[in-house]
Amino acid sequence: MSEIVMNKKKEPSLAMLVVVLTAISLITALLLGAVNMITAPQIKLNTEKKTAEAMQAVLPTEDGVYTPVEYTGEDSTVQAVYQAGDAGYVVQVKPATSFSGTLSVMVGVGTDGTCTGISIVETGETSGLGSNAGKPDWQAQFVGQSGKVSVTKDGGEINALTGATITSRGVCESVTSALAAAASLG
Amino acid sequence: MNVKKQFLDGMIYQNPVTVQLLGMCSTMAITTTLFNGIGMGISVLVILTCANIVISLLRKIIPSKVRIACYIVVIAGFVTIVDLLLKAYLPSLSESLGLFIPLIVVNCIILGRAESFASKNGVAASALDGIFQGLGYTVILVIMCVIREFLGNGTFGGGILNGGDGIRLIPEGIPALGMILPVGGFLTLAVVIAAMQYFLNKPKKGSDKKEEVAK
Repeated sequence: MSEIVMNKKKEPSLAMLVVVLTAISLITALLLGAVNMITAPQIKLNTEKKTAEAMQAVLPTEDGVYTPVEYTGEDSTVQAVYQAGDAGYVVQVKPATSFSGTLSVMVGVGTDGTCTGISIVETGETSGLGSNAGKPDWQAQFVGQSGKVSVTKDGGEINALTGATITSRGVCESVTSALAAAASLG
Repeated sequence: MNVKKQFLDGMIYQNPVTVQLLGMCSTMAITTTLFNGIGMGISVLVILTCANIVISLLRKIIPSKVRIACYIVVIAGFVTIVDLLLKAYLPSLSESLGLFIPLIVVNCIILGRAESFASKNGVAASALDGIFQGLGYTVILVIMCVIREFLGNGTFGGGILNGGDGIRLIPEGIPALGMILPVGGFLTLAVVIAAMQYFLNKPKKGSDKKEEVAK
């Protein structure tokens, strides 16, 4: 009981509050720095591996080399464009339409200006609904598409995912943007 | 220190979700596949246990005026560590839980246990409290995942079994999609809480009535 009373008397010291809070924050920050140093290379590796796999999936090249191309067009959803040797372009798009706001799609565009395949690089779409956009059977219908791509509900040819029309629209928009971006580069 | 009581409290009598009604946001948001539920449950368990241990160790140093700020710094630190580790070594889980890992910082189970238990009890008891409360949370998540995945998607063990697709129990097209949408989360959680409260209050009511009669 006497301890508690003593503690209460000590507490009003403002310097003590500052010192304790600063010390705790400092130690936490140092710990986080250490963990970040350990995990950062691995996280970078994961992202690079994923991007490389996505590029290979949508537009395979023999040597696996994709040269980044500067994209100067107006479409702000186009994040990166890579030239895949003579095979065409690979475009990474973050569409304006998505259910969660974190959709990112890799689109392969052949030399003839048609879509060669798509791959979802990043998604926060609803598990079990929008996340089905990652399924190969669904993605297959984008192969060979050209011009403006849209879901059947909007007058296009793509069958939207069950219960995930918004995600499907986002992917369609991505493909349309990617095709336009690749066409502008020639 | 009463291990058995702490275990029963965490799992049943003081279950974080169904009795204390804490951490309901993540409970409703991520319980769509078994993989998500187990992953989230274990993440919370680890963070809760670590935060409880540290806060219990520091309980005599932390001035009560800035205690909440101190707790949050400690919790946020552990959450970020777990987030980074998941991103590095379990990218698929990190992806499917997405924003909900960083949001554990504001999950009231952890702050609630820090305030109501770790700041008043010894290190060992606080560690046990973290483990048992975390287990209680995980069990409820798993129950909700199994119900919602079965009714909403017609599968069991999504994300883990059968190459990630889960074992199909109901043919495609029949399951009620709404159950894996947010509305299904509310419905399932309500049913789980109601069931839990029913069983918890059953014997108590009897004894209450007897007392009343005695009075």
